[in-house]
Amino acid sequence: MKNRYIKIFCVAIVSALTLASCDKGFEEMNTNPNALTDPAVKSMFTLAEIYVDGQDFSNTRGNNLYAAQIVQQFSSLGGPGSKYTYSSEYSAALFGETYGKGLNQIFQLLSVVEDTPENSNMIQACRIMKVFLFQKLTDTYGEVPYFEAGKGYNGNVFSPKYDTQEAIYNDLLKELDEAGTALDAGKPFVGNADLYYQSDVARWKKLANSLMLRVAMRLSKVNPAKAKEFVEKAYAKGVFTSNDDSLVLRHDAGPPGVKTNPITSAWVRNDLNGGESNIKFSKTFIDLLKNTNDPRLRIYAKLEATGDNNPASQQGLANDAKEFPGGDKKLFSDPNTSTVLRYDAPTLIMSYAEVQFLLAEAAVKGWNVGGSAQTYYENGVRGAMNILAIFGDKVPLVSPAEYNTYITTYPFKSAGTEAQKIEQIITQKWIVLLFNGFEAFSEYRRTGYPVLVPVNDPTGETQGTIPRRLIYDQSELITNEANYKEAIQRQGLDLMTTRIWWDK
Amino acid sequence: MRQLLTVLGVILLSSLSAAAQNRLITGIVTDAENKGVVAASIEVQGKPFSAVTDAEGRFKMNVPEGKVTLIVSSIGFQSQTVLLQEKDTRITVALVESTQELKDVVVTSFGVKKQKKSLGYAVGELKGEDLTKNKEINLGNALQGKIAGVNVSAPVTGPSGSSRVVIRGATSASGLNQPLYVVDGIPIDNTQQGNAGMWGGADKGDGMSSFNPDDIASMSVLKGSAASALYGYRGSNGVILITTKKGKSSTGIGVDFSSNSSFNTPVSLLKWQDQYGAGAPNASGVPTRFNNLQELRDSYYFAWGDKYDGTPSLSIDGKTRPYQAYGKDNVEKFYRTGYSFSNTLAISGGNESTNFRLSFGNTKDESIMPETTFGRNNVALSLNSAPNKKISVETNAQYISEKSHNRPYLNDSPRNPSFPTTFMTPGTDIRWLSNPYDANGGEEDYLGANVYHTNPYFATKAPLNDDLRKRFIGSAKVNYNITEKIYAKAVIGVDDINYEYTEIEPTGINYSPGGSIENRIESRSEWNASGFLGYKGDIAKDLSLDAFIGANRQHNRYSGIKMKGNNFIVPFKYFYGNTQPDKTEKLFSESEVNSLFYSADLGYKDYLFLSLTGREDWFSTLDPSNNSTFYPSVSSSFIYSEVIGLPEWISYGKLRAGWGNVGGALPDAYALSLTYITPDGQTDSLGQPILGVNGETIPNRTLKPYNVSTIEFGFENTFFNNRVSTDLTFYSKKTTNDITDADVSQASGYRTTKINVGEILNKGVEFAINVKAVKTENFAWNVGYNFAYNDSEVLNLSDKITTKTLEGNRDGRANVVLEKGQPFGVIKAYDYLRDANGNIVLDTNGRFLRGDLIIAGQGVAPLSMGFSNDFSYKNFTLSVFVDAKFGGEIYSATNQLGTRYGLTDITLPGREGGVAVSGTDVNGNAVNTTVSAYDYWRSYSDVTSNFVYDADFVKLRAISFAYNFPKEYLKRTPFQSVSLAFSAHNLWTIYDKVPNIDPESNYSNSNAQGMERASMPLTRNYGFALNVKF
Repeated sequence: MKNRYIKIFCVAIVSALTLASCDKGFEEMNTNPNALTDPAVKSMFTLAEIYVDGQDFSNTRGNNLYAAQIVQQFSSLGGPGSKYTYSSEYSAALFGETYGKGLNQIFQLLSVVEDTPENSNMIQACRIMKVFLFQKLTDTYGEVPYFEAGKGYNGNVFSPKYDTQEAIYNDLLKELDEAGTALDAGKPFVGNADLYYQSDVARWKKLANSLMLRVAMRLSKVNPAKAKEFVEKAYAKGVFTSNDDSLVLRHDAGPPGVKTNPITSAWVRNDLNGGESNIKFSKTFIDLLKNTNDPRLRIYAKLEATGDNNPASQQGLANDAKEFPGGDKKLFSDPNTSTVLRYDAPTLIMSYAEVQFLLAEAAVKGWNVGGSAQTYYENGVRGAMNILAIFGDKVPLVSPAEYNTYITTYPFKSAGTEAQKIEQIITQKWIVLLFNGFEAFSEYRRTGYPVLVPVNDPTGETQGTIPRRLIYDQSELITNEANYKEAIQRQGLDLMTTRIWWDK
Repeated sequence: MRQLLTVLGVILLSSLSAAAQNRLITGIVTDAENKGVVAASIEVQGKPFSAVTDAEGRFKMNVPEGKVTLIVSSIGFQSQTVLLQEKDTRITVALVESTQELKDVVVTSFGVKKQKKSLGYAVGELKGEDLTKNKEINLGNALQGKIAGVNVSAPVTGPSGSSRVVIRGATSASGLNQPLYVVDGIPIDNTQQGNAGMWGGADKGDGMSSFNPDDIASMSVLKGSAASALYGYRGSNGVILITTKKGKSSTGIGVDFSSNSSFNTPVSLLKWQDQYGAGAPNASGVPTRFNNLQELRDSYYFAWGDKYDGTPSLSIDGKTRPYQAYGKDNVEKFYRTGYSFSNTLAISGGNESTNFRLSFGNTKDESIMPETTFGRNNVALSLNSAPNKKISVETNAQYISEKSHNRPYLNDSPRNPSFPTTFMTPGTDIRWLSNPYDANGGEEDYLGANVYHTNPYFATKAPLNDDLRKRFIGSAKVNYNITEKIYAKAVIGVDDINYEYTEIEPTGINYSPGGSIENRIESRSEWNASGFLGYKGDIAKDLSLDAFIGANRQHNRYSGIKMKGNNFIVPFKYFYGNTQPDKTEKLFSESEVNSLFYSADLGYKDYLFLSLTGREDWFSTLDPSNNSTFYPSVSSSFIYSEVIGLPEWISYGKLRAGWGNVGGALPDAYALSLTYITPDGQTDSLGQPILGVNGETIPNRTLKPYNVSTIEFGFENTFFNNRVSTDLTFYSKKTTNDITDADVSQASGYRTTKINVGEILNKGVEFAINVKAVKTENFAWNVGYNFAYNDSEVLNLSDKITTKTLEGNRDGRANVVLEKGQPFGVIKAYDYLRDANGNIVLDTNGRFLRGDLIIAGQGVAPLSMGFSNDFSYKNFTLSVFVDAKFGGEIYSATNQLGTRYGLTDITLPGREGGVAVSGTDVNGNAVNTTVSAYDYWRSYSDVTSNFVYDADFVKLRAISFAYNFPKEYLKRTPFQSVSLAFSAHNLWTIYDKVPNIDPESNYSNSNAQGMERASMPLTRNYGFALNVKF
């Protein structure tokens, strides 16, 4: 009996001691069974394309509540963009999300893809997408980390330096030039994993050049010569020639999240509230379309509570409103839930119309872009009306006749001053940039159009002037203090009223 | 055959010789209540004579002639030696229950009991009655103020909430800094299920809310590294060893019944102004009256409007009432009187070899927050058996089920009833919102355009969250004495938790009218299996050795499913199948730690002791090329009063010294390299698969647990015949290789990384004194006082990072951060914008501007103390417990927003005529001007350092008054004892300096201490307790 106990115990103890020092199986145990350690690069590429458009977080906060309200496409009573108040969270949303999602996805993808001819087209496409993201960032905040950015994992750079906008813009142009040239239809691409153009390299090339047009034109105020050089270069290399080239990203109908329209998802899900939304079309936007009998109004807007999309019924909320006039939110226009305000409404990342308006402006300035301002302008307006077909046909599309009436009633002011022409072009661009408030905000700052009446609200932080940028993510003060302060030193105080480099 | 004969002969001879020299004695063994102890064993020291008591506690036995020493022992009692004189033939031995034995014997690592005098490190102790006297339903909170160096803070969410217990200061920037809890030798899970953070959320409780204080026999707190070194990588924050109650051999079945009921009342500390109503001033700063209901509702929290004048005016519910203040007691009107009931029934019994204790406990708690409830059922069984001298078996099992409904959301405004209740302008009686529904059953827009402010009645009446935790904690120990001095022991234990959690955004809630539901089902388990081989005895004259070697395997597994769905298809029906599914996520991790360890205690002549331990841990979660760490300790104790001649008034004196090295914060499983995962649980877009980078943390392959080494010295003395006892400890605790969960610039692509570079130093002193001030036959007065001072300093975070944010305030206006050279967890808030000479700079309108972020305080009080007085007169006892903390600060967003919103009474000056300001403008020119009160106080509120307050307090934490019914009253009843007690908690804040809130109003129990925002009110409890023994 006694011996048996002793035996059992000694065996137990000895085996416990032996087991303890043994770490066989540890490595296997520590391999995450619910994640991949080697990525599928095509799937990463697809997600990168989705991220170029931003996610729900930054679009709701940065676009819908800030940028798009600053340019008076939308309005809400307490919207920081309507009243020029500072919300640290909303103001910072684009910063953290762009670096953390889109750029990180692209940088990581580039780090795992070997630089071989087989991968070349994918790499060039990544470079182009990077430009989209960085331009939006630098246009919104001013100086941002660029050359040292995105190196947290590959390089352990935890506090990247801020770069001057001039240096960033020079590199953006260089990247687009190189990537556009290097794209090669003879090399493999990613097939249907390319949601933009299904690996049609020719259209990717046009995208690179069209984006170069956008980037270059932004320099028209600060460095007109350089703007001219690259606008002409972009044109020469070949830009969008029809709506088929427009960069349209389609989305799934649900579930809300990464697959759905990042700009409207939160709106549909949370804010719409049966027409009692706090965020509405701006009076500025609705009035312009209404006063010009713009056929697009029925497609863009409706009163959600009643389903009424009759243009005559549409009413926008003034951006300086402190209350809903009459007190009934339901009488103010919401984006049309049959067309644009859907989970699966496509996003228009860059349109043929926008390219035509850029060319029209270049032509007005006398730059060599191969056509007249009027032609480009008319192409732009027509393109902006026709592209609405992407939102489906639940609301009748703009007919050629309607376009003709519109363009005849409001023709290009060929005889007007340069300023009048540019006002007309940018105002049209502002309409097609609906849901892309960031770009409209940049163009407003560059050109001063469309003409907006500033809001002077006691809660505002700009003394009644229209903001010239958004305030940086304040976490930078802690995680990247020295570089942040250096940027502020060069650029001016971290205020909404500080003008960034190309806006001086 | 010859051999057999020889053996028989020897036996015969020895029994003959024994018979010749023996005498017969009789005796009785009793317990403290004079009842016989059954199955007590009586042995003669050094001789093979023994006996066992009968059912009445009587025994008869032969003993050798002459003086002999008897050893009387029984399970559940302290063994006792009795000197028997030559002529004694009858003796009576009264045994003392073994819980009282703990005075001299303490439970140390792995449940090993050691003589207190032999320890070279500090161990804090609490006995069961200390936990039940002023009962806290949450065991963690019961530690508050009781043990020097154990700093407890709990969010004000009641017994189901979690407690923050920090021993001798926080050791790590990123670790939890909470001790390891070990119940009956088995490490248990104390996972924090969820905390309120910057974006709100509820405190979802931790592992300590499971325990029934009535089941606890004692708690030992291993404070320093020398004490906890045998727990290796888990020892960095100290260890709390919990021993549950056991049965004892007795003459029958013992039944204990205890019942507590208490009433909890909300105590409002808000003193808002009551002169100005809702609204904003016009552009020239003149207060205006709202024009319509919408405007009133939009500014329900914004008291910059017109002065109350009693004229008929719109109210928030649309009715017309005189324009005046109605909201003075909104807090009392909204919150309710809660109650807690807790009952425990325990049955225990046993015989000479086996004993048991079975208990059933039930706790029911209704919070002061309407609709918030918590219930707990505990079943505990302890079964112990020692069939012979060689083998003993101990088993403990507990099954716990805990259920919570509507844990309150804190801090941020969505679903947080405290937010609008706190920030309601004085013109509104909160009860006017009490029918919160619109025509469709959704939330009526009483609170205006900001949909993220939820009507408190809507937020409490709707189901918001439910959780259910079922937990089994079991352990089995077998001890086998191979020889008298060598033993082997095997222990196996498990803590197995099943957790179900549901969180609901109800249909019609303004910020998400479609609603949503999240279901989480998790199971979490930890198994530990260990074996020991030990030696205990003298190895030479005057030299004793108590040593063992052992091994442990720890296996943790966590697995769960999280599902989320949006937009209830049929409104108000809250289940996942009634939604548009959003996201399903699999949660999983598995890890193992293997350990080898040894311990050797040498004792010389019972006054000099040396203890050495060592433990090597191997981790599955580390890089295999470098996955183990060694944790040693050495400590010594010297009873100098045994050696040096001391004045008579010094009864006992001991010096001790200890050093140990332990670890903390084991890196998570799967954290070695970057992985890729489908984003948000979505696998494709338009049919194309999508894949993204997993996580926002930069992986680090070389990560290891951080290291903590403590050196400590202590002096223990008793004076005046043990009437006064003191314990003084000095320690220095240094963390190296701390895992800095460093925030990196988001422009790096990530938000955080983990690196082993941090260094934190905690130095401190602990002192405790106990005085039996008066001790007469009828009256006794005991005084206990302890204090602890801990000075912490963040020596290094990393070479790249000098500041790390632990938590940002919701409004982005203050942070709790770690900063090199500063104490752990300093509060940084904005100063005024100042020019180079320190003058305040004003903007062109004369308003203040936000300047630099400055260190405005520290969130953890360095000095804490507890002061207890226990009086007893005949059968009455009175206990008064006071605790205090000094040196900490708190950032109060309630005061900051209250000022911004024109609610605090400081905003009254200048409402008519403005406030005079002086300073300089941005160009350095002197400015003297007058600004409106609105501009003045709003810009003042941007300077958030104005709202960092000294959080010192002295509180009458608990008072209890008890009566023990005299035995003679109970003679004719079945009761052995009956006691009745009244107690009260948080009766009186004797001293504090923070306006409008309680200085302990932290919303979080994370490392970010010192943040408050729209807190729940302080709760005051009045309770009755009945204890009956059959």
